[in-house]
Amino acid sequence: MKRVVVLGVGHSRFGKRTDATVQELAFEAYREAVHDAQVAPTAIDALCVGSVPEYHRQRSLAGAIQDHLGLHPAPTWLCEAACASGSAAIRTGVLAIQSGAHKLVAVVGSQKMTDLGTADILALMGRVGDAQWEAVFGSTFPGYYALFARRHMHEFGTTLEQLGEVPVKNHHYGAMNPLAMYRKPITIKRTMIAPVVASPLRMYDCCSNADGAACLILADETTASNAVGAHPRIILHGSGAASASMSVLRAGDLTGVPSAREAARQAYSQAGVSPKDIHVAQVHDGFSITEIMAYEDLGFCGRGEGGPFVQSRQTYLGGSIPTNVDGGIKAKGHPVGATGVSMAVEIVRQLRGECGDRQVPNAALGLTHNVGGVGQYVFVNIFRRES
Amino acid sequence: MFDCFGKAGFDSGTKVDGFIPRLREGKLCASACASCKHLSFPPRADCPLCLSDKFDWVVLTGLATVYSFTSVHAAPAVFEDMVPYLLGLADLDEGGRLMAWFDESLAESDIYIGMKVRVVVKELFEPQHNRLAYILKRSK
Repeated sequence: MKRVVVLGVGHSRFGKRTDATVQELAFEAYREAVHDAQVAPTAIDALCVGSVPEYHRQRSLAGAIQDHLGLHPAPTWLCEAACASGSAAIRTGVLAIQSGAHKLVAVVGSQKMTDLGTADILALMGRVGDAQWEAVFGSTFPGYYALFARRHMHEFGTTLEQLGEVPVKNHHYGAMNPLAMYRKPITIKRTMIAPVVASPLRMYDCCSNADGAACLILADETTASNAVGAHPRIILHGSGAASASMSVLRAGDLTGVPSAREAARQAYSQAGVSPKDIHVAQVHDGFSITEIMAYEDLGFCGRGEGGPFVQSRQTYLGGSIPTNVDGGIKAKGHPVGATGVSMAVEIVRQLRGECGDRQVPNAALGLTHNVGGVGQYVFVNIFRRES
Repeated sequence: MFDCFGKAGFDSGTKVDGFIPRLREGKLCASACASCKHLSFPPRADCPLCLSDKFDWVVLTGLATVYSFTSVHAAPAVFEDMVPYLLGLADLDEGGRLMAWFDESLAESDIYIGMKVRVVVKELFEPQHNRLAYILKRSK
């Protein structure tokens, strides 16, 4: 299979961005990525946009973003996979290059969520699940993951303190990331007294809607070898994607995400590596329980061991697998269409050694894990720095 | 017809509309594929196993076991006046799973995973008339 090189990366500041439209956010990330890649915009021959359209009043998002970036006549299209839309856009860009149809592709994840009120947002998120049989009872997105958390606690003895360790870690690193929405450390005690959102999940167990954008410039090997950039070369080394039921009524077991295990299996197999070989990971921490299940689904620890694993600090810098050391979705904020691309940007910067006091020393192999909904879309990518 | 189901209906009609009059008579029904007999709850007209689009209604006992539950404190639009409300996932004895509110007499501390429950029809006297749902009651 053709190899795909990440030539450039860019990332806007995440947060409540009343100062910018969804196109303008996209431009911030795109401009940085093009400069980083040192390519001429006229050489970009396709734009893949990751975004969830129902948050925006602007319709036809890919076209609107394409207009603002000035990339005509290169074709563009929108990729949507709920919270994994950014990773869907990356996969589409990768396939476009592997097929030979395109040589140099811009992948932009961009999302403006804070123009909608909280009640509208919650109505939208409740309908992430089954509108016919669940949303009619007032299901919410935090409510779905609360059902996972309660069952995980029941089967494996996972504790509220262990859940709380996830946001404590992620806010610790968010405080060190100037692009993050939340830049203050929190304590376990604070997580335990925060308001309940959907029991057993409290406020710090849940991510925030946010605005922001991230961008990758992808190239085939020939185009990449003609580029003048001086960065270490980062390639996509393994890639997996899978689906599972969108409904907790049909998902069966709610202590893990089977589509994540399948996507991970594909990615590890393609890369010829195992979980213990990964140096740094970005995993989906939309909720505290989501990160705990990710450790298990990705094989960083055994089934049911995610709670003790986070408590043992193995996912901090210096641990066996530093995870979300940019603050994760929890502290960076979760502009849903941008998140998957943001994960990849962080991994590329880690593999290049650009992360300063958050740097995982000598990281050469990094993984992203992006989950849409309750597991209906999962994408796992493994990136490698070429020596 | 289906938009009378639950507190906020999102689907106006479906090939399983027949679920509603049966529920109004107190019968909780699953669908059984007419061809391969695969039983589904929630009911579905279209069989994902054999691709048949014919099905029969099967009346369930309504007996179920709590798989998981949550108390929702941050509600979506239309549900704000109910907070906090208890949502349960219950595995039906005959197969399939449903989501429902718990009977109002139950507190969160009364509920546990593995608890035996019975699915009971509930009329909702909302601003909109004739709304219908089911709730989970403790099984005697």
